[in-house]
Amino acid sequence: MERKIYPYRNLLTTILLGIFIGGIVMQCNDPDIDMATTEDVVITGYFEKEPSRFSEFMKVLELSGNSGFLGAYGTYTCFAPTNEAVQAYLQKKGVSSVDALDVNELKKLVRFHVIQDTLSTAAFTDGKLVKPTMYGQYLTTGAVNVEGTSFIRVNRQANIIQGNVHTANGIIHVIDHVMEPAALTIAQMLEQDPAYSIFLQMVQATGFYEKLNTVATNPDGTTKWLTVIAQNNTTFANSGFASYQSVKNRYSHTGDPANPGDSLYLFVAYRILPDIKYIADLVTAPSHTTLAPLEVITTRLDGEDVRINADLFRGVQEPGAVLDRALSDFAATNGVLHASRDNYTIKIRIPYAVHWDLADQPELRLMTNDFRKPGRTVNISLGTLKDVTWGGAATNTIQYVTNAASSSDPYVWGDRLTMNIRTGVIPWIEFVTPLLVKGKYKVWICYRRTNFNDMQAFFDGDPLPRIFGLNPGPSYPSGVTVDEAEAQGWKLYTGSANTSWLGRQIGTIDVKTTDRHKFRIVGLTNRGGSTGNPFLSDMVHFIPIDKDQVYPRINVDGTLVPRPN
Amino acid sequence: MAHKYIYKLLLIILLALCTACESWLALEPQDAITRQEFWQTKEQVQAAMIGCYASLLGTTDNQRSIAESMFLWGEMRGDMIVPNTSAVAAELEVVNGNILATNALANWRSFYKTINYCNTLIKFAPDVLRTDPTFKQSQLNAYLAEALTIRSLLYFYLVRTFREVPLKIEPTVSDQDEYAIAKSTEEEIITRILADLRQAEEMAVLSYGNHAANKGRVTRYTVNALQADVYLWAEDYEHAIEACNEIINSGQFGLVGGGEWFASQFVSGNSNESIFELQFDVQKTNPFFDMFATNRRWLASPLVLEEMYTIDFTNPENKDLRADGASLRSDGRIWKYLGLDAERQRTVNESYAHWIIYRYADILLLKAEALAQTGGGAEALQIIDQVRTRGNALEATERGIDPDDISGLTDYILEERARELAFEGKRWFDLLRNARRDSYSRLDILISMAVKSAPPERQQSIINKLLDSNSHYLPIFYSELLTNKNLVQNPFYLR
Repeated sequence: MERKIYPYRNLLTTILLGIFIGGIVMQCNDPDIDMATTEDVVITGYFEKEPSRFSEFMKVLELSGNSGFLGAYGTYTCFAPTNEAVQAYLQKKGVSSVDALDVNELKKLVRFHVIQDTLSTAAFTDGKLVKPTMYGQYLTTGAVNVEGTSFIRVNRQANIIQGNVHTANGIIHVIDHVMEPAALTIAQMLEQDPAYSIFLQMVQATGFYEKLNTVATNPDGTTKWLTVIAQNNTTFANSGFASYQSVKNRYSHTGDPANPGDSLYLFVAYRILPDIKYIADLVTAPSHTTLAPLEVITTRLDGEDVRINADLFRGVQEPGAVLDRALSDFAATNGVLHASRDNYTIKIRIPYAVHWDLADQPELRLMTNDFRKPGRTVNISLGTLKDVTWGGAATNTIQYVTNAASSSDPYVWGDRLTMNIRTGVIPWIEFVTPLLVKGKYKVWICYRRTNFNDMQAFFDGDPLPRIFGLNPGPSYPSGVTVDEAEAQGWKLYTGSANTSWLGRQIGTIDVKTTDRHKFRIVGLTNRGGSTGNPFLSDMVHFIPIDKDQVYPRINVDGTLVPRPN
Repeated sequence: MAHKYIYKLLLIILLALCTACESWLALEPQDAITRQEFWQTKEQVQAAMIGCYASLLGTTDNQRSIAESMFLWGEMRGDMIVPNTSAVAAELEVVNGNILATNALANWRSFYKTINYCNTLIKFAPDVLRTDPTFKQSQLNAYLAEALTIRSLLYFYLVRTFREVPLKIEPTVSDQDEYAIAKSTEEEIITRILADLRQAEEMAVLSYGNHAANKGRVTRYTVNALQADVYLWAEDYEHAIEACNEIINSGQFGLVGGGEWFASQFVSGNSNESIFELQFDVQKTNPFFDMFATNRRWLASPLVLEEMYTIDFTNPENKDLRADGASLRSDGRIWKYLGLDAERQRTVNESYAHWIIYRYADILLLKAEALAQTGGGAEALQIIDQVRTRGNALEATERGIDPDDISGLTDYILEERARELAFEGKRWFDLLRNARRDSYSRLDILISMAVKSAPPERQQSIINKLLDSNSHYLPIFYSELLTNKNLVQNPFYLR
């Protein structure tokens, strides 16, 4: 038997040997092994491919020792000036070649042209880019039109002539001028422009000069940016101020502008924002803090005008002050300088009672078929109201409900919001309040009494102490005067003083800034059915603590019922 | 002996196998029909024609449908819609004025696909006259008119959206065909469209003897409607008025009553006012439910209700019949394609509101626009008034315009078109047509639109970009540039 197998074994060995050798030979024939993960060119590779456009900038990168990282793995955005751009820069500097420039200067220059992120032009706005350059300063973007041709302009210095070149380690935007970082502080910019002489004197007298003249850094090494909204002498003149002296006479009530309590000091402090905010940043948030303690400015875009403090105050639309776009958005080493076309300062406002109808939302007002029309129920989806948001499933709605035509329910304006506030349905709902003047207020929540879930309110994130809603729904105390009831935290807020419509005092708040604030109601329990009905909310009252808390009561048609004599 | 039989049997089997071999070698596809086998009977021509229409309703390859593109191209750069939370990145980039060549909304593939269907029919349908004796020349002409008109309509969309596109009028049937076609100029494309439409006008039928077909297929009135629109775009006002008059004087169309405005035109569809509309139905629902109801990618801009229609706060009963509960809902839903009446919303299975391409009120207002340019201001005002009265336009939107005030008439007609044709994919083209007239003498129309509607943090950039007329057209999609080396990108998008 063994003998018989032998020849086959030989054959087997030969075949195996053949496959083995063949394998080696075939491997030898295939030396093209990819050593790189990608064949895409990197940023420097792109420049090397096109020396006719980028040889000069490549030289700058090499001299400054920066070609290394732009040729390695990473995510960069590089604004690359063309050869003509670099030559124009050299001419401006009075040298004939790149080698003649100081290496440290070149390093700064390159870092000002590189951002450690990939930013295509789709991320550009009218303001600064989302990340600073490696040099530390931000670049701004915008668009300009030159004789019918539009360009994206970077930092008011260079136009993009070829955008969004994608390479393996980032994006290149080819620009037609070398960009130079800002060299002056905000204070120096004010100093250099004689049109700001009055404002500069104010800055100097109030002691803010030093702050505006230093590039301070945060503990993490980033710059402590500042934004100044100045105004020039013409603006002062238009408001009746011919000189610094006249401004001082008008505002400096203590006679010492350096005193932090002095109104002139506050005037200047109110013009400084503790961050870097270009116009695009100013118009995207409704309010901004200033260096004046607890004073904010509000901003909004009206057509093309950026208006400061154009607030709706007690039903009157104030015009506010308009920013001068041409004189704004100027970058400094420590921030940005804007100019206002109108004089403005801190407004002294006295707190007043705000009887806030929760259902009075601008989007609901547009629903003319439903708003304050009898017998309507409108389901409102999340996202419909810009000032009201809530948690829970995205499909959960709240209801805007109006009284049936035959109803004598005393809901103010005959309407309410029905919100199923409980941990399992709408765990929280948050409103933006009307403008509240800074001061202390008692907060009253006004609703139709029934069995609800337990709820608690939060003002700007701070809890208000008294829990409301509850089951069984507590009722108005019997046999007491309105003032005794008030002492227990109750009032009847409707014109008919119906005891089923209750005002519950839920706490006292200290409104720090004159602004619109956040008012949130949070559900604490998850009862359903008749033990935890949806909350029937009518109003929230913010009443200054030294004002009458119970009166005026409010009729269905919104008219006020004063305290009987 | 047995062996002999076995051999014989084997030989027979071999023979059988050999015959089978013959059919193995056939190169005709087994699961499809070739062009040479098709184009034999008139039924096949009809099937091909219906295929062209079907391709307008939706695609089989997940490309954006033509109806959706018609909406987006016509509205997203205007001021009547705003993106909602589920708008996709490409849509937000358009609204932010940051359109790149990689933006998928610049993909024109579904348009060229249908154009190729039309090209194929125009080329091969005449051959059927030889193979099918029951196929009459008049029938062939009617089909040719339909295909020419659909192709012209699509090129008109392309030329308004991209300005310069490749003009492909031969079908793609073999590998030898020229694929890399360079762009034609706007003038060349418009000239071709008008020539094709003149030919179509002579051949098109007036009626198919069936109401739905009269609204869903190309009739001579469809050709006239498209002619009016194209002539107006080309600033040839006399011919535009002539084309409008063909429709107006036909007696086949009229304005539906104000109370019926929404129900008959947008809920039932194929109204007396309709000239040509895409016939979505239960089997082929429209793309709008996903856009406006489920995800709400787009909402009506708050400006539409507040400033375009306006609200009579003193008497809310007095309202524009085309506003809340018709074109839109006050919560911002685009209601034209969602509503069953003023209150009830369609379910996803009921989402087959038609997409109206031309209707009588549109033609009236196009005529008014042409009249305003040619000294017919008084008649133009009458037409505006006719449309306003029907829609119960509010007094707050009425303008006392002098018949000689061309600029004022232009603005008034634009405003009325916004109210009447809201969300019908007309707005951006209306704005652009009026802005670019007489070498952009009314560029301010686009600028003031941007002032009102651009996102605040990008408003200034958008305004400055709009000053460049190249920015008014979309870029050529990057993949087209890769596959067709003869295409040249719009210079605005190279920067």
